[in-house]
Amino acid sequence: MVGGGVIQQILRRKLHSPSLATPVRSWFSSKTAHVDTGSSGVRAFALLGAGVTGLLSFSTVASADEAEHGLACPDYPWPHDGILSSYDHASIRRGHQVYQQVCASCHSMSLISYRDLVGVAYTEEEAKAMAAEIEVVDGPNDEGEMFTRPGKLSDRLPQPYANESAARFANGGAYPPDLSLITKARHNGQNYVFALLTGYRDPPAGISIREGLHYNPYFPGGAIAMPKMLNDEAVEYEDGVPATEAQMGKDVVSFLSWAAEPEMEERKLMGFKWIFLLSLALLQAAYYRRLKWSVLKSRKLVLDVVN
Amino acid sequence: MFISFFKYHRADEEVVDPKKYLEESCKPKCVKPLLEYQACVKRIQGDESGHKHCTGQYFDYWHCIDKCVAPKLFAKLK
Repeated sequence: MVGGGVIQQILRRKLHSPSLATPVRSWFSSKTAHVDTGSSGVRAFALLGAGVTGLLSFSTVASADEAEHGLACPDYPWPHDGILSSYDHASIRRGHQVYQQVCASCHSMSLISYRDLVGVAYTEEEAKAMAAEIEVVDGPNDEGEMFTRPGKLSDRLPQPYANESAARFANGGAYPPDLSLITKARHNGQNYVFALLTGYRDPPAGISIREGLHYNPYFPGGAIAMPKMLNDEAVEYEDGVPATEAQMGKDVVSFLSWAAEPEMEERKLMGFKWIFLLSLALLQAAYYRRLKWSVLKSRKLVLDVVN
Repeated sequence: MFISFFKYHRADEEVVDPKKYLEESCKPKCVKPLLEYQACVKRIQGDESGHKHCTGQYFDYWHCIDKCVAPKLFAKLK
């Protein structure tokens, strides 16, 4: 540390000074004497001062760090976690329902199309019917005008705001992020989003959040613009599952995980297959290498001394 | 504690949020950090400067609760 090093330096100089009887005076005199040789004494003073202020400022920085990073979220045992585990597709279907009814008013999912849901959460007819409920701007037509038509499978999920500025304006300056990749875009995304959605609590003593923001310990800084959206029975599930806060959180995170990684099931199957086959290939290659090298490895070298 | 009991138990409804229920049942396991938090609250009660807060103890308590709740929660959900 700078402060400690400088203190050592000053002590060493004091000890090595010729007259130990008056160390302070000699130190001061040596300081003035060294003025023309770079004023190292003044520099030492300045460094010592900087070191002390550095030490003192650490106390406030350390306490700000905790809220800054947010409370670490726990690891939940997601049903799709194992190396051969697929998504819970019933959960994805419920999660999409939660997204549509609770989240879609503020959050876009502009990378997902209605056709992506076919075979994952809905049948083709169901997805077509859902798409037809929205109006999509299309065109230009033969007269050069833009027109609106009912949605098709190929259309993206509708966006709540025309652009980021409109979204910020409607939400007090805060932008509700697009959720298409959110579980990949946040560290430990699935657990983080679940903890965040179900983690709205009263702030700790001494913390006050300004009007317009809400306290959430998992959010870096603690003050999030989004209010608590998941409340018991906010949604009525089609399959009759009780829609508690935790249930909705689990389902919506399953849906968001699928949205961010739709290829997960195929990827795991491919991974399992190829790791197995490559292990067999490894064994074969190892045998073949040892077979070919056995000629050299079983050589005998004879040291023949010429008499 | 500042936990509201409103959602945890409603006499007219059968629906009880499993997460709230488990957080309550995990409280005995996390008494130590809870007491630390309550001691901190008491300590800063008279503070006028507005700089004192109990985030550290709050985080320790909720970290303990989360670690207890997480392995059990999904078993209670569909």
